[in-house]
Amino acid sequence: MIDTLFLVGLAASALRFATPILFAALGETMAQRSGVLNVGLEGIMLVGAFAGMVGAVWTGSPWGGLVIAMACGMALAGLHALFCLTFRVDQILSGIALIVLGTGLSGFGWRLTLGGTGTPPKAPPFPRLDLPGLSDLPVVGQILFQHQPMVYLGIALAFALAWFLRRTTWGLEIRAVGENPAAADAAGIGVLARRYGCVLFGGAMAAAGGCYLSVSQVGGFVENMVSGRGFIAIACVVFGQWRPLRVLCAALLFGAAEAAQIRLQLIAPHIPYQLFVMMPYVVAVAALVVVARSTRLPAALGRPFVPDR
Amino acid sequence: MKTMMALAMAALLAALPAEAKTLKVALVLPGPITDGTFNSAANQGIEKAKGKYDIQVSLRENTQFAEIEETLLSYARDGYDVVIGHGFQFAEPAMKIHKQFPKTWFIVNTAKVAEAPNLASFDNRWGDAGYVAGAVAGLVTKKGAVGHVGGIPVPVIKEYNDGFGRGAKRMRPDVKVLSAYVGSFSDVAKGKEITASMIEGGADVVTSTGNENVLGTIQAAKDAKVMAIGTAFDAAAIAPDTVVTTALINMDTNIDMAIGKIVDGTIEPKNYLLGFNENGLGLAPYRNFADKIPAADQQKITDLIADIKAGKVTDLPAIQ
Repeated sequence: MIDTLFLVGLAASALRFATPILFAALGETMAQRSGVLNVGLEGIMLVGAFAGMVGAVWTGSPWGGLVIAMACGMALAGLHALFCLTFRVDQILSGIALIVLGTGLSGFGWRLTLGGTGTPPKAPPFPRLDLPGLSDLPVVGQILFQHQPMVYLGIALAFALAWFLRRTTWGLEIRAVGENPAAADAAGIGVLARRYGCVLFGGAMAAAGGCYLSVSQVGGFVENMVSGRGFIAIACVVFGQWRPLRVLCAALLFGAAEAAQIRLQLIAPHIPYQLFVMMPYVVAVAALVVVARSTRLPAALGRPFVPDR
Repeated sequence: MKTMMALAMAALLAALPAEAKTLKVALVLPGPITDGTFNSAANQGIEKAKGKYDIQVSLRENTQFAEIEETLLSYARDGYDVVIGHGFQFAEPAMKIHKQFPKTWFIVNTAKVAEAPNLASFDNRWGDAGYVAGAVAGLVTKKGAVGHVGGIPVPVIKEYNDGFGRGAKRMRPDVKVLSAYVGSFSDVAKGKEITASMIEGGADVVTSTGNENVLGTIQAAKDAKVMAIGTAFDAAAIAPDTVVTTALINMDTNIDMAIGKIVDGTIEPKNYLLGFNENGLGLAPYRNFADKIPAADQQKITDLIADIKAGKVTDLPAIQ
């Protein structure tokens, strides 16, 4: 059963599994680099999945759905920023509140809008981005060049953020704010403004990940559909050592583990399926253990900034 | 005279509440009523019962595993007459607490627990439903490979899985039967990916059991333009040109029946197991596929259901 067709399916499936996690993890990377922990990704992704679906149906375009999802994600993340940065509430507590809030808002919102009507309407799907010439290549074409646009956007985003953090003044300022806010403040960098910006960006990206899940991958919304991906995204940030390209690798590794486990279930039906289902999580935990030693945790992560004046 | 009046008053007081008493019913669900399958069915059942009996219903959705015992306890303490847990996972907590509240009936749906004096359960013969779904799949498959994607292998889903394989082989002995589990009832995206991998592996008829994950299987079948067989809740409306039929598991009947039996006082602390004979199972119409399935094949399915009803099918899955 292990042949080219099998591997092609596996690789393509890994990319699809990785994409929603990648978006959320990249957004969280930026928030954490600026010093703010947001454990509420799960809730924001759920709201993104719901708002993306409703937005796509209402505007008649998947891109309209994506924009509305990102706006809603920013609104939720804005709440988190307000509590953590302005009111200096504990960041973990505020994040947990976001999970509960997001679960409730998405479920209730769904019933108020499209979910209340017997058969939910279908959202206009993202067109598959077939690249002339490339998509028809044997093997590689099927793995790399026959996906929906958000898959490529996610990968491009990882490269863009890596460049942004390393090569631009803003990137440097964000890193400074996350490592030593007092010094950054003394140098005239607005700590809170940078942190607000990063948290809002993180919210928009988590919601984009949720929107991919509902509008692009499934083509429908069901309550609780994010199913823990928000937490895996946080693990990917740590495993990726807060660097966008490594976070991309972490998300791909997780996606590959998922894609592999569902196929192994079919190949080896006599082995208890739980062994396969837990595989991606074992990979995540093992990766964290390996990485934890050489941690590059932003020094001011999770600490509120109190201006010294 | 005084004594007589007191007696009359006492008799009146005793009689009144029994006459006008509204039954307080709590229905505790593991997921949302919008899932289009498992939890929607429970909601449908309680709505049906509301129309027939004098009941006041409290509905609780999205009950996490760890909250089950506390939820059941709080309803019982609040004096509910009936507490219904919808799902296998409610069996153990109900077993643990039911004796503390002898005035409350505890009903567990889709499980097989029972204990005197006040714990009963209702379940359907999921294995028989799977058997019929498998038989349909075995008849309509062109490539000779069919697949079942389960949510989490709780007993009823395992029974369905066993039945699906046996039913398919009854109609086509050389059929290849694939089986996999999502490991979650809500992860619709993973359900879709697993189904897609089955279709890549050659399956051209797929079915699914669970909650929201079922939607993922039907979507995957629709995207790949292969056939799907719905489970529990009629799925034709979601994808009319994909869903051949649905092996109906009338979980709403269970709830309706449970409340009916409590109202008329005939309920016993035992497990009620409903199959085709008791309207606990059924098969949805073929609709868009009515013209595509040869009449002889349709007759085979009709005969099979008649045989199951008559107890003539010997390899139905064992009840777990």
